[in-house]
Order: sequence, then C-alpha cells, then structure tokens
Amino acid sequence: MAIELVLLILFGGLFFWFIVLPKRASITDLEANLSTVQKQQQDISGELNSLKNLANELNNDTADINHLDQALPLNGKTMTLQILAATLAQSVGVTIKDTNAVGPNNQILAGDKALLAKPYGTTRALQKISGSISVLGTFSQLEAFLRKLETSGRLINIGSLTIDSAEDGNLSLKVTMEAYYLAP
Amino acid sequence: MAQINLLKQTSVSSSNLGNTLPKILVWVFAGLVVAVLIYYAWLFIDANGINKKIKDAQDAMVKYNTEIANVPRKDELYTRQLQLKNYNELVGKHVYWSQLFPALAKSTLKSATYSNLQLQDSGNTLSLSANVPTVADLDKYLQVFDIPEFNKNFSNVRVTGFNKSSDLNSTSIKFQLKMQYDPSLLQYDPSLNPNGN
Repeated sequence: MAIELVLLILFGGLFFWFIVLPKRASITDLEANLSTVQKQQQDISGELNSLKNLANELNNDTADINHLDQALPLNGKTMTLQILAATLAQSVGVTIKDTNAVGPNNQILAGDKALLAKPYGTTRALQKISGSISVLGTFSQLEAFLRKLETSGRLINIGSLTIDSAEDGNLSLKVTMEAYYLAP
Repeated sequence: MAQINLLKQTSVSSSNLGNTLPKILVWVFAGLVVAVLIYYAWLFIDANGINKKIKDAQDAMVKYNTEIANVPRKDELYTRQLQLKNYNELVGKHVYWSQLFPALAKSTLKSATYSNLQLQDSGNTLSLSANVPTVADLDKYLQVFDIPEFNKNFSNVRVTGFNKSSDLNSTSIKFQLKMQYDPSLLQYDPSLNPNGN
C-alpha cells in the first residue's frame, strides 16, 4: 500500500509540476494576448466607424469643404493670391501700386499627370507663398482693405505693414503677407 | 473476580488504524490526482476557448481592415484632415492688425498727425513718424503713455529723433517714435470684426 501511495504522490506531483503549471502559464500568456488583440480589434472597429462617419460628413459638407479649399488650397498657384488681393482692393476702392507673390522654387503648378490621376493619393505638406502689395487710398479705405485681407476666405497672415503719406492727401499702404497651401 | 484484558483490546484497535490509514491516504491522494486531472482538462478547454476568441478577433480585424481599405474617398479624407489640422493651427496664430488702429487713435493727441507708421509682428514693435505743432505738444503726446489706461496697449515709448520743420505758413515738430504694442491687441475681437472669420 505504501508503494502505491508513493507512486500516486509522485505521479500527481510530477503531473502538476510539469504539465499543469506550464499549461496554466501558457493560458495566462494567451489571456494577455487575447486582451491585446481585443483592444486592437476595438481600436480598428472605432477607426472604421469614425472613418465611415467622416466619409458621410465629407459627402454632406460640400460647403465646408469649399471654404477649407478656399482658406488652404491644395495647389500653390501664386496668381490666385494676387487676383484675390486685387479683387479685395477693388472692392474698397484703393488703387494697387504694386503686387507680387512668390512660392517655393521648382513647384509644379500645372500638368502634373501623377497628381492629376490621384489628387489625394500623395502625401502633402504645408507650403507658403510670400508676397507683398502696395495700395493708395484714404485712411478709411486702407483700414477697410486691411480688414478685408485679414478676414478673407483665404488665410492670409500679414507680417508687416507700413503706412506713408502719399500725393493728393492720400496714404500709401504696403503690407507683406503670407498665404499657405497644401501640396506634395 | 472477573479480569478485563485492556491491553489486548488496545492492540487490536491500533492494528485496525494501521491498516486503514494508508488506504485513506491512498484515496485522498487518488482524489487529489483526479482533481488535478479535471483541472488540467478544464485548462485545456479554456485554452481552446481563448485561442478561438483570439482567432475570431484576428478575423474581425482582417475584415475591418478590408472595410477600411474600401471606405469611399478615404484618401481624400486623410488629405482633408491634414488640411483642417493645418487650418486650425494657422487660424490660432492669425493676427488682425486693423484692430490696432482704434487703440492707437485713442492714445493719440488730437493735434498730432502721423506721416509714417510701420508695424512688424516680430518683436511687437511699432515705429511711427508724426507731427505736432510745438515741443510742448510732443511732451503732452508722450505723457499719455504714462497713464495706465493707455500704456496697457502701448509701452516703452522711445523718441528716436525729432526736429523742427517750417514751411511758408507754419512750423511744426516732426518726431519719430518706437514703442511696443500689446500683442493681445492683434487677437481676434468679434466686436471689432463683426464679419470676420
């Protein structure tokens, strides 16, 4: 009977030590793995849902998209900034003396076939157009022009401005400005 | 007199216990071994269940990833998000120079006329040239900036030059100043920009 007892204890002990305990440890690992995978699943599920919601918003908020494109266009055409400044100047009655706008060198402004084929398929970065404009007018006209520049749909940051007296009782205003766009 | 042999009875009883105890122990340990085997079986089933859950979650992720890849206008969405992020950052830094003029006008002596004004956003410095009829007016002009109501917006006023100029009809004092403006003056104020963005 004593031999059976010893064998039983030996078998039970060895089985517990070499089979059960490693299995339990592997289950602890599996549970940790499951927890990680479930968290990833939740994240991806959340990302998918927010992506679907955003895609719906994109379809429905055309007006907002147009405003965004106006404020921060997806092309670096410097002439659009000059056209805008000229339009704003005309709207308040100031006379444009001089205007210029310069973007980064070697920027492709038209005919980029790869971009035209996949306009949203490339990585874009914020780019800057620097420019200046000089106008003539009365103080109230210059103030109105400045306000129009500051509050225009296109985001224009004015870096410096100079007001000088000019001929015929008018004033001259020169502003240096920066506008931005997103391009590859 | 009858005799009772207590010694014999004790020896029989301990002999029974000696036979029974190993059996009990065998049963107890056999029970423990069975319990361990059942526990192992349960662990085995549990592991299978967890493995199945992991596989289900991984399958679901593959499905979600496929759905994400097929969301219409996804690339445009990422571009728009970048556009919006940059827009918000730029709007946060946008300044309104036109809001400085009313504050400057409030701080200006009625008899002074400006002939040049230069503003730069670096250093929050303002340079201007102006005319006043007399030196006493220049002194008054400067005294305004010692009043807290006005020097909260414009401070550290320096006269960088002044001279008396005269033409056929009158004489005046022409002077140049440099001062610092409070940058918060350039932050968006809805009351000054009712149609602003």
